[in-house]
Amino acid sequence: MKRPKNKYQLLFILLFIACTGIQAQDSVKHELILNLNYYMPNDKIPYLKVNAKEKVERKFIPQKNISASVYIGEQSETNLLGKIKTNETGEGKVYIPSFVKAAWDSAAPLNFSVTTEANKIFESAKTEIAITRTKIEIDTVTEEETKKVSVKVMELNNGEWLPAKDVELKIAIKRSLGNLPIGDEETYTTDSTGIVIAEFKRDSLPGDEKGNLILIARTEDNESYGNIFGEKIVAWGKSTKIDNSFFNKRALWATGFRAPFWLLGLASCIIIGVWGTLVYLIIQLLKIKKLGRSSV
Amino acid sequence: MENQNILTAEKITRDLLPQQFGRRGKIWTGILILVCLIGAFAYYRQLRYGLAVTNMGDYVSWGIYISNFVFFVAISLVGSLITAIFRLGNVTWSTPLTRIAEIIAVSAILFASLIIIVDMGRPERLVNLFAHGRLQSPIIWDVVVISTYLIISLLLLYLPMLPDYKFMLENKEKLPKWMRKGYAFFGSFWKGTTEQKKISKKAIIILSIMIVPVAFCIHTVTSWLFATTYRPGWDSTNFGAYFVSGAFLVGAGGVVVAMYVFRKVYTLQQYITEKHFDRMGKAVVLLAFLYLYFNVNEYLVPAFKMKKPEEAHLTNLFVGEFALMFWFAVLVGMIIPILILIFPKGRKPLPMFIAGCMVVVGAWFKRYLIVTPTLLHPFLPMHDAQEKFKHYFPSWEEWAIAMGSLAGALLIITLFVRIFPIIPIHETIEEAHETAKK
Repeated sequence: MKRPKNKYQLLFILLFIACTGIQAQDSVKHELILNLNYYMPNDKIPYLKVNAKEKVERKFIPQKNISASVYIGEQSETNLLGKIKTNETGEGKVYIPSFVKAAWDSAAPLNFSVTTEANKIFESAKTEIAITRTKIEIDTVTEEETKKVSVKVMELNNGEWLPAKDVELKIAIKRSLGNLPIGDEETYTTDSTGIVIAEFKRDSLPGDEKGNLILIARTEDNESYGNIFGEKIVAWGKSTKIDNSFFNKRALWATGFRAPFWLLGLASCIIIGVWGTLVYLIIQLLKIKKLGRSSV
Repeated sequence: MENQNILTAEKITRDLLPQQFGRRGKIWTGILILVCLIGAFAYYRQLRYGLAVTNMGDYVSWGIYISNFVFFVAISLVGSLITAIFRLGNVTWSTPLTRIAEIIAVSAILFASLIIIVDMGRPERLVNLFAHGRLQSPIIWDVVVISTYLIISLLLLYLPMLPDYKFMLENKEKLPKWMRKGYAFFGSFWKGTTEQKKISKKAIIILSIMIVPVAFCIHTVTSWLFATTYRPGWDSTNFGAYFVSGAFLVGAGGVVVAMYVFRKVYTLQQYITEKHFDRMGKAVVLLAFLYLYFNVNEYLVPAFKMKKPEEAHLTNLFVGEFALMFWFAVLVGMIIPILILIFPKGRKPLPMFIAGCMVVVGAWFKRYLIVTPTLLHPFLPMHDAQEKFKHYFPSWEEWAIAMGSLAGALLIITLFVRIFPIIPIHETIEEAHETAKK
């Protein structure tokens, strides 16, 4: 290597190396972490949720505007379930379309994958999951005065529905803003017959007009089954009647109530006073007109 | 009024009677009609396809239409300032300006009512406001007060004009048939008898007194549409006074612009003199200072506290997405007009016209800034909202309807000037006689 002529040349070379080093460091693409979750709501269309994030200093940062392709089985055009773009929370959703019915019926387990192509920031990424098709059946058992909920989980094995054992479930009552567990346990696990029985300890819970409550049983991010939901309506709640009587109440501040009489009276007086004056002025105008006609 | 001591009744009548449009007048009217037609076509599209043609959404549900509504309500307030407050205060120099102010008020309040119907999306549902309206709601107050103000303004425009019909009918042979019939229907009964004058004078005084509280109500109630909510930027006890002061300013600015245009187009230099500009200039400066004072209260006090919900809103206005528009409205709508008009040389017709235009344009953007940015900062985070809901820029239909309504208001004023004298003839002759006697 030729020796630099003076210290300025040396400084320039060092700066150049430092800059190219920084640039090279910048050009290293980041790793994108992809998660794929399967959801099978009760009697609804199943869907897959994609989650894209990056790990930065022990924190996961959601990545928006990431384009991804979701497949069933092998990655091919015919097996493409859909393309998504992640939102601000790094999530995207694909409903399983009807045209993959053949693959859906034949495959056991169901293999899903999500892929992203490399872009300016991230390397390409891919994640796969294998889901065994499962169904949840909810039944009720009443022993003396104790109400119990029986949940049976079945998995599809070689075209046959067999009991799924050791499956962790949450059993709860569906409420407006969340789910209320039916008893003290956080989760329940199925036995060798695929059944779990849980005691219902939420007596006197307000239901609808007929006292109906919605029982739900679900798996949560289960590795083999994904997120499966089952629902059943039971008349175990307290019937509630919608109180419409307040429509006839009167109050100044409550937006659902009618105006108080004093306000109606006061406002009517002002409106009648002002419009009465206007009517008087219009009569005066007609009087001017009459005077003009009579003076001809 | 300077120069009036040498003006004869014949000359005043000749000068002030409505004149036919020249070439420029026809082009101007044609442009206004064209803009109105484009607006009407956009409204047809909105009726056919619904409010989906606008860019309003879950968050910005009040966009350019409501900004325009607030602007119209504001500018209409000038009718009460010049016609009523000046009249009750015996400010005689304002005589040539009263009709200008009143027609601005009538056309603006008319289009304020129309633009509200446009904003509803389903115009046939307007009837529900009357059938099922709740008296506790500021929207009902607004409906009541706007309709009242419109009727008072119409009467205040019509009653002082009755003596002028005599002059308009003097040369009826030269008039087109429809104008002759119109003048005869609306004013041929005015004979100027003592009894007629007495009733008319009394009615005008009653209207002048009545319009002041109604005018204050109209804009205070409009401000309460916003201030009765808890939202950042609107949750303010200052809002009524802030709106009323801003309304007087934009109205006065509008009158200044109209004064200059009518003076120039109809050669009214002897009637709208430099003295009128000087005095209106002083009024505008006073009103601009007043509005600036309320602006300082409105923005500086919340900025000093920077409560969390206000922070995002104020930051967006001062240095964020709306900063350019905000500082434009402050500088062009208030500061620069004050700097122009505070000096006697700035109160000459041309600088006054420029300052008036600045006040009006600045005021329009100010109304946009009052309505839209707040809606983009709800208390709860925008969860699962589409990206397009997080920003707002009006669609071409919204622009067309808004511009069409502005053109419509200008068209009413333009057509009014074609049909009626824009400066009261009878009052000007009377004042000329009184000056001559002195």
